[in-house]
Amino acid sequence: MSAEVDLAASLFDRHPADLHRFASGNRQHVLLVERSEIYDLDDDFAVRLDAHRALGLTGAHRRVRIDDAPVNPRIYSISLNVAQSCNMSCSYCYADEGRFGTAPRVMSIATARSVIDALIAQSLPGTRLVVGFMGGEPMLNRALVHEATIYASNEAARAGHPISFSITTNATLLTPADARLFHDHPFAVSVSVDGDRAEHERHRRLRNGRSSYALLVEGLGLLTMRGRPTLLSARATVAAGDTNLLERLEHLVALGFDEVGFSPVRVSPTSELENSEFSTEQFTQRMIECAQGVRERLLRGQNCALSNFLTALHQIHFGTHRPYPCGGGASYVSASASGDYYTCHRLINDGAHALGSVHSGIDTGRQHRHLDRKHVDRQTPCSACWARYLCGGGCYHEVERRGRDGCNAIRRWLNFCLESYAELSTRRPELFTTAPGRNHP
Amino acid sequence: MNDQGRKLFPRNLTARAAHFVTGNPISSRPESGVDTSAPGLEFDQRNIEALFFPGLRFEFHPARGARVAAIEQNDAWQSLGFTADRLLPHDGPAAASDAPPPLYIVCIVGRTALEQDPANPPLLYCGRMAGVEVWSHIRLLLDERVTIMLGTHPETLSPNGAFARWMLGCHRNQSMSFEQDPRMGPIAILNGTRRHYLDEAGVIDTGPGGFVAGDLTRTMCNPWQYDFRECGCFYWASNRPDLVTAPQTATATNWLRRPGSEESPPPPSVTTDPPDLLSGALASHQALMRLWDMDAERDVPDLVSNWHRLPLVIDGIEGAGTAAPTRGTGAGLLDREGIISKLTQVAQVEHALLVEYLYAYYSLRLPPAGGRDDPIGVRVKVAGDFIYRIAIDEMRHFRWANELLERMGAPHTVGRAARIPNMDLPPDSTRPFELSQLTHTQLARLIRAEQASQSDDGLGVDGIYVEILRSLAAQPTLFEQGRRLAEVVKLIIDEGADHHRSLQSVEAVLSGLREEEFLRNEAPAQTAPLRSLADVDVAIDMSNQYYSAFLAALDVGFGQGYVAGRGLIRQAIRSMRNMHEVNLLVAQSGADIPFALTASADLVRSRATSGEVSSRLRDLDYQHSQLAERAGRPAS
Repeated sequence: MSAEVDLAASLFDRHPADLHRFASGNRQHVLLVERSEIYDLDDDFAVRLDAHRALGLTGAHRRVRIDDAPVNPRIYSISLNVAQSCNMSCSYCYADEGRFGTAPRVMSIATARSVIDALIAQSLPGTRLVVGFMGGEPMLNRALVHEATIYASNEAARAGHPISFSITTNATLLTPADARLFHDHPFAVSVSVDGDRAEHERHRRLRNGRSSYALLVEGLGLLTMRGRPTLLSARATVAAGDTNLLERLEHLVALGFDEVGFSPVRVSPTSELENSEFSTEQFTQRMIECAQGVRERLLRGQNCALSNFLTALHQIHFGTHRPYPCGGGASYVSASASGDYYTCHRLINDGAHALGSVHSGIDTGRQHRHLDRKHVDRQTPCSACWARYLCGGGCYHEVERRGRDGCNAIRRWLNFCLESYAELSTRRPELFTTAPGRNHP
Repeated sequence: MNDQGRKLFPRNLTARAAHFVTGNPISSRPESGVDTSAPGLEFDQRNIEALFFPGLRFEFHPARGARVAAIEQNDAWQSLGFTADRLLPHDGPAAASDAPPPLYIVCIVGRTALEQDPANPPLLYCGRMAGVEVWSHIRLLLDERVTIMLGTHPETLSPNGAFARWMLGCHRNQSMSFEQDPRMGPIAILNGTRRHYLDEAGVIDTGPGGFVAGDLTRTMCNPWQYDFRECGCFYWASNRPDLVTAPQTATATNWLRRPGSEESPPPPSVTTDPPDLLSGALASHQALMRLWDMDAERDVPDLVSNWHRLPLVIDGIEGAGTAAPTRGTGAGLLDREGIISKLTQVAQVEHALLVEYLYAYYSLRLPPAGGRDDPIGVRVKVAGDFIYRIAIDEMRHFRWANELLERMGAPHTVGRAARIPNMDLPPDSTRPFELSQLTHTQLARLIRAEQASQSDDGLGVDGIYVEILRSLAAQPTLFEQGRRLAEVVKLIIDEGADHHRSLQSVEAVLSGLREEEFLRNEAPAQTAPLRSLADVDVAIDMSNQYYSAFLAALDVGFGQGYVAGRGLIRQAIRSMRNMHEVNLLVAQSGADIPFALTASADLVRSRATSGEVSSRLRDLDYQHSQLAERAGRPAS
C-alpha cells in the first residue's frame, strides 16, 4: 500500500511536462510521461490534483529516466530503392515521380546483394531482419525484387536469421509470378491506394492516361486469389481538403485489405496539395472522426483495421516511450540505387542524411551525430511537451522541410488515442492481450 | 482489496510493471492462477461458482446434484418461509431422521452465450445431473438475471413444454415463490442476478456476502491433511509425508504394490462421492484401502487433529521425545597431519571392506536354482543384491577417500588394511581383515562395523569419519577446501547409515534360514561352468591378476590427479567388472577366490606407467575371452 501512496503523493510534485491528465467516459486518468504509464484516478483525487496544478503548485524537478547515453544501434531493417523511376505520376509524390531530383536510376543486383550481405554481417546472432523494396515503383525492377528476395532468404537462413520482407507498390504492374513470390516468402505488401475510383484517380494517374484504379484492382485480384501475402495493407494518402475518411476505410477494407493506414500529404512538389496548418487541423479532425467510427465498431466486437489507430492503441498499452520518432538512422536505413545509405527512404539523396555506403560501410560517426542531434529532449518545443515520448519529435523529413507546425494536431490525436485506449481496455480488454508482432518498415 | 483508500489504478503495462501492490502474491488474481478442480493447484474453481446466486451457497460434489449449503438471511425470503432454519440441517448433534432432506437445483433459466435471445433464455433441467455437471453449466452463465428452482427431488419433475414455459414466465415476471408441494416436497423459485466474482480492481470480491478468507482453497488437499491417498492423479507439487504407521501392528507396505507380488493395482479413479459409484476401478481403490491395514494406521481425522504430536524424524531416526544434541568437547581435534593419517587409514579400511563384501557375495548360493519359483532362492538373491550394492559403495568410498587425500595434497594409498575398526573399546577396537562366507556371525560382524557411532569416541569406521568431519567443521580456516572436504565426508557417513539399514534388511531376509540353505557348498554342481581343474586354476590366477591390475590402475590414476587420471580410473572400473565375471565362474565352479595381493604386485610396486597398466589389462582381456569361451559364457 505504501508504494501506491508514495506514487500518488509524487504526482503533485511532477513538472507539468511530465504528466498529462485526460478523461474517458466517466473516468479520470493520468499519463506519466517518462515511461508512458497510465493510471486511473479516483474522482476526488483527480479534482485535488487538477486544482493543485491549476494553481501552478507543481514541482520544478524533472525526473529523467531516459538519459542521454548514446545508443549503439544495430541495423536490422533496410530498404532498397530498387527503382527510382515510376510508371505513374501522382501529383503529391515526394519522390518527384521517383526521381528524387536527379536522373532516374535502377539498382543492380550486385549492389542489392552487397547491401544484404552487409546487413547480415553486422547483425547479432538470431536477430530478425527486414528487407524492404521501395521506389519509385519497385516492380519496375522486377528481376531484382525476385532475385534479391531469394538471395536474402537463403543467406539469412544460412546465418540463422529469421527474415521478412516488405514492399510498397502501386500494384499496377503485378504479375502472377510476383503474387507467388509475395506468398512464398514472408511479405508485407503495402499498396498505395487512396479510396474508390474517383478518389484514387484524382491524384494518382498513369503516365499513359489509362485507369490506374482498374489496373490496381486487377493487381489486388492476383494478390488475394493466388495466395495472400503475410500482410496486405493499404496506404491511403490524404491531400488537403480530402474528407470522408471512414468511407474510404470501409471501401478499402471491402477491396480485401487486412488494414488501412492514412497518411497526410505534408511535403510535396506542389505546395497547394500539402496540408497547410489549417488543413492539418482538419485532417486531424477527420482522422478522429474516422477513428471514432472504428472505435464504435471495436466496442461492438467487430474488427476494424485502421492501422494508425490500432498501432497507437497497442503502443500505448505497452507503454512505449522513446526519444525518437522512428528507427531511421538507428535500426533502419535506406539504400539508394547506387548503394548509398540514408537515414530513411524519404531522405534519399539528401546529403545531410547520408550515412555511408555499402562500399565504405555505415558511417557510425554520422549515425551517432544524427541520433545525438535528433534526441527529443533536445528539440524545441518538444522538451516541454507531454506527448514527446509518444510522438518522438515528428518525422525527420517533415520537420526539416516544414518545421513543427502540426504539434497541436498531434497532441489532439494522441489525446484521443489515450481516451480510446482507456475505454477500449475497460470494455474490450481482450483486444490487448495479444501482442502485435509485425515489423513495419 | 476494495476501493477504499485506493487513488491510483495502473492501467497499461508499464504502469503495472511500475506499480507493485505489496502483499498480494501473483496468484491472488484468478487470471494468473493455475487452477484445476481435481483437486487444484492453487485454488478450486468450484468454490467460486459456489456463490453464483446471491444469498445462497452451493456444493457441487454430491452425485445427486448441486446442493444448497447455506441460505442467507433475507427479508423477502423470510416472508416466504424460505430460511436456513427450516430447510438446512442445524449445526450440532441432531438425530439423522430430524435433518431436513437436502435441497438441490432442479433447473436454471439464464443466458450462457451472447447470441441467445435475452427475452427467451434457455432452461437447463438438472434433474439427473451430478453436481459437477450442474457446475459446468453454471460457470457459463452470463452476469445477468437468472432464475432457479430448488427442490428435494429434482429427478421427479418432468421437464415438458408446459413446465419450461411456466419457468420462463417466472423469469420474465421475476416472481419468487416457496411452497410445500404434497408430492415433491419443498419447491422454491428464486430470481436474482448472477454474482460478480471479481470486484472493480479485478480481484476476488471479499465484500459483504462475498468470499471469505479460505473459501477458494477449502476443498484442496494439503500435504499435512493427508488426503493425497485419495487423489486420483498422483501429481503433487510439494513433498508429502510417508505413511505413518502405528508401531506394533502394521507392516510397512509399498502403497503401489500388493505385498509379495510384482503387479500393482490400477490407479484409483477420480471420484467425487465414493459411495455412490461402483466401478471396477473403484473396487480396486477400496481394495487398496483395505491393503493398507487401515485399523493400524492413523486414520485421517486423527492425523489432521494430532499431526503436531508426531515425533520428529532426524537423520532417519524417529525420536521418542526431545533430546539435547551431544556436543563434542572440542578436545582431540585433528590437525592436518591427523586428518591425513585418518584418511589414509580409512581408505585402506574401505578397500578391505569392499573385498570382504565381495567375498561374502560370492559365498552365497546364486543364482537361485529354481528361478522365481524358488522362495529361498529369491530371498538369497535379495540378500545378495544388497551385499553387492554395498561393495560398490565401498569401492566408491575407497576412491573418494583417495580424492580427499589428493585435495589435501597428501599421497594416495591403494593398500588394504589388515585390521578393521570395531565398535568395541580397546583392546578389541579392531578386528582382523578376514575373507569369510556370509555366515550369520560374519553378517553380525559387518553390521557392527557399519554401526553409527553414538558419541564422538571415534570408534568404528563411522567414528573415524565423524572425527574427521568434526575436525574440519570446527577449524574452517585451517583447511583451504574444508567445506568441500566436509561435504564428501558427510556423504560417506550418510551412505554408511544406509549400509547399516541394508545389512539389517539382509539379516531379516536371511533370518530363519540355515546356512546350508543360502551358502554355496564346496562340491561343484553338475552345472559348474569350469569343468577342468586346470581351467579353475587359470581362472583363479586371472582373478588375482585383475585385482592387481585394478589396484595398479587406481594407483597410477590417483597419482595423476582427479582430472588427468579419469581415464585410468575408468579402466580400473572395467577391470573390476571383468574380475567380477571371472570370480563368478570360479565361485560357481565351487572354488575359492583368494583376492591375493601378491600376484602382479610387480605392477604396483614398480609404480607402473599408465601405458604398462593398460597393456596388462589388454592381455588379461584376451585371456579372459578365451576362458569364457571354454566356459560357454562369452565375455561381455
